[in-house]
Amino acid sequence: MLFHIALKDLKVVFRDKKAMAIMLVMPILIVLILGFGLGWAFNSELAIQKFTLGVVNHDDGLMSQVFINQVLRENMSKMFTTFVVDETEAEEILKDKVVPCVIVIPQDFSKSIEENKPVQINIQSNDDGQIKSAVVRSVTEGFAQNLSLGYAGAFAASDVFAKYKIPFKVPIEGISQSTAIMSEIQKKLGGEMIKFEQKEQQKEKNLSAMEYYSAAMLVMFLLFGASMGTKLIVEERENSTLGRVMSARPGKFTLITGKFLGLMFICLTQAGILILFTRIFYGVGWGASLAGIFLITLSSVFAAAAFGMFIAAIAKTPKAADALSQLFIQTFTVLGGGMWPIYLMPDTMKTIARFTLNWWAFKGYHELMLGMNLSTVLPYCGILIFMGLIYLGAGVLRFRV
Amino acid sequence: MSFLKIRDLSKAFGKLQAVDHVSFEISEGEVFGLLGPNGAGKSTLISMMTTLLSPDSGSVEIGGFELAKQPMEIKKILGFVPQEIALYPTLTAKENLMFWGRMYGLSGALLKERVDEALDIAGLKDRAKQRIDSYSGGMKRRINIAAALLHHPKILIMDEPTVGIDPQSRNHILETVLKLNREGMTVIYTSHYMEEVEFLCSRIAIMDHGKVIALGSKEELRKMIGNKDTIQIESVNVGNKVTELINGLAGVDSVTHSGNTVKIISMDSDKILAKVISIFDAEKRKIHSINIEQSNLESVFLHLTGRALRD
Ligand SMILES: Nc1ncnc2c1ncn2[C@@H]1O[C@H](COP(=O)(O)OP(=O)(O)OP(=O)(O)O)[C@@H](O)[C@H]1O
Ligand SMILES: [Mg+2]
Repeated sequence: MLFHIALKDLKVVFRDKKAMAIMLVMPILIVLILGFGLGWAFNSELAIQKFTLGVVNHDDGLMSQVFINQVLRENMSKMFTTFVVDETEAEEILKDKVVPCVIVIPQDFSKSIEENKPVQINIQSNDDGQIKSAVVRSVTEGFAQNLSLGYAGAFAASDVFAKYKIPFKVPIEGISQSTAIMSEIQKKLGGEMIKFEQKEQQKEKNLSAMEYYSAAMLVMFLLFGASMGTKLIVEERENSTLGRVMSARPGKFTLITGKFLGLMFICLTQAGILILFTRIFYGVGWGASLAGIFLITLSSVFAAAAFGMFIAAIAKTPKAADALSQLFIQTFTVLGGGMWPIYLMPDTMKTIARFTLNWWAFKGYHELMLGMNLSTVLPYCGILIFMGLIYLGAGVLRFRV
Repeated sequence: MSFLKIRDLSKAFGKLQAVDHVSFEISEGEVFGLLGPNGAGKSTLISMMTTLLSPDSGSVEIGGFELAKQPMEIKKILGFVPQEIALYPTLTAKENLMFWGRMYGLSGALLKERVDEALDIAGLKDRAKQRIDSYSGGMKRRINIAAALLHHPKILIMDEPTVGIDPQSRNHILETVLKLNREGMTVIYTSHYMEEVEFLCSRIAIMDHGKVIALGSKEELRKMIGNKDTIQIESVNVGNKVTELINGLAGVDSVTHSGNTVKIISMDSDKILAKVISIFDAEKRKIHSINIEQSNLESVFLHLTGRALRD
């Protein structure tokens, strides 16, 4: 019975041409217009301005020097300026927001690379640095990976030299033969590989106006989707169909759960269609983590549906429901980054924005697009579900038939 | 044995006592009428019988089950026709009935069978695949009733099922109620159309301001006001002067006038009629028509409350 109640609502909404226009056609058009029209705001310079980076180096080997001087200071000089600091300084500049993030190179960095073991480079960031640290992380990981690969090659080469007694002069006294070979390879290939990384970054940024607005509009229009369902619920209270359901078998619990599930079905279907459509026709890359996309969608839909139940409980007439939804959605959207890029927002606004579900849902989608994985967005899912539970609790307590 | 027992049922909305200590009993197979003006508390009373509202005090027992303890048992044997057209306008009649059937726990072949049967009762089988919002008011009302019959309830509670419809649909609905009753269904019929209640109901409760102010068979209710008659006179420019003069006549119980119509309630219409006409003559008011009616529920209500049932 629960499912029949929910499926009936899905059917009613998807039969309503006006609702469809608002839920699907509008976001698709708006993304198209904003995606092209505001493309300039997302060109590399504005999107990620050159920033300063702190590095704490616990390693006294050669590899960390190569990494800092060649990769960070030389190859990436257009992106950021790098300072080497100690741990206490790092903490301070992070806290004072002098830098958005700090790279911590562990003690056994050089050794791990030489022994072809995985290295752990830790990147700490403050609230401002989430996106920038994503850039830094991809550069760092790219370097470490290439280096390890290079080393595997160098080891093999060193073995071959030894076996066939090929003379190989170590340029500096005291370093091993494989390290010497590696630094040769590094000189030849390292720059190329880092350049490749940079190109990838560049490409992503050019696409991101479309992507940015796909995510922002998805979140905003999910709320509109929920508000369509909300209006239906208020209409149903007015024409007594809610009462009629309760006079049949279902009790209040089944009725409310069914209605909430209906809202979730509506938003979930809408989200699925919008994500697929923008992926296929606009080429929007929603990220590589399918699980991440699924979970952030589910949590956002949960929060949006709960928001819908809240409005359904406090609105007395369908008109009031519409007006209330509009008011909340517009406020949420302006605050939550739906109107202009989050990084251009003033700090106070960013703080207030944290109380909107839009902020967290959008942040989740955006970071997945930037290549983050499931574990990054999991906390946001938690926050969204928590917000949803508050809305739902308030809604259920005040729900009248 | 009574099939439905209501004891001391009350419900207030804030300071407004919508239902005020109402008690009555209904036997199986009765068509019981609930008559009262707007805001009398009829719908509130029904909402408590159908589990939509919980009473402030009092109890309801239907078919041997306590509403407070076994609401599910009562829901199984109770059909409810809401005052509003409680249907989904963008779904077809058939889709609506399928949905409501499922809400009553029906499924599969039985559900299909019952939906067909309900469409038959509504006389709308050939329009089953049209959306409800393309229906006329009367057709909507018929589906609204059909949806309450899907689970073959023992008792049918109808809250003003004929508001705003054409005579043809009204007759169809009244005939349907009588037919269902002949087949054994107990019916509670709410209306402020006293003609319908008089036509259908074996016993009638009259409600006003949340209270049952009179209860009994048609004859019993009429006896309460001593078989008084209603004289209705159509004239022009009836003023307070005329009604005052008529009110002063011996044998006149009450006089009201609205627009050009004067209503006189009297024990003995034959005796006073000549005097009434002479008053109109003396005041130079032309009489267009005179209509004398044996007392009816309307006059019972007027007698009890001093107000008309409908304005
Ligand atoms: N949910 C509510 N909240 C506050 N007041 C209510 C509510 N429901 C009904 N009332 C009030 O209670 C009184 C009785 O209303 P009710 O709907 O029971 O009357 P009714 O006899 O069915 O009238 P009608 O013929 O207009 O349907 C009215 O004054 C109404 O305004
Ligand atoms: Mg009513």
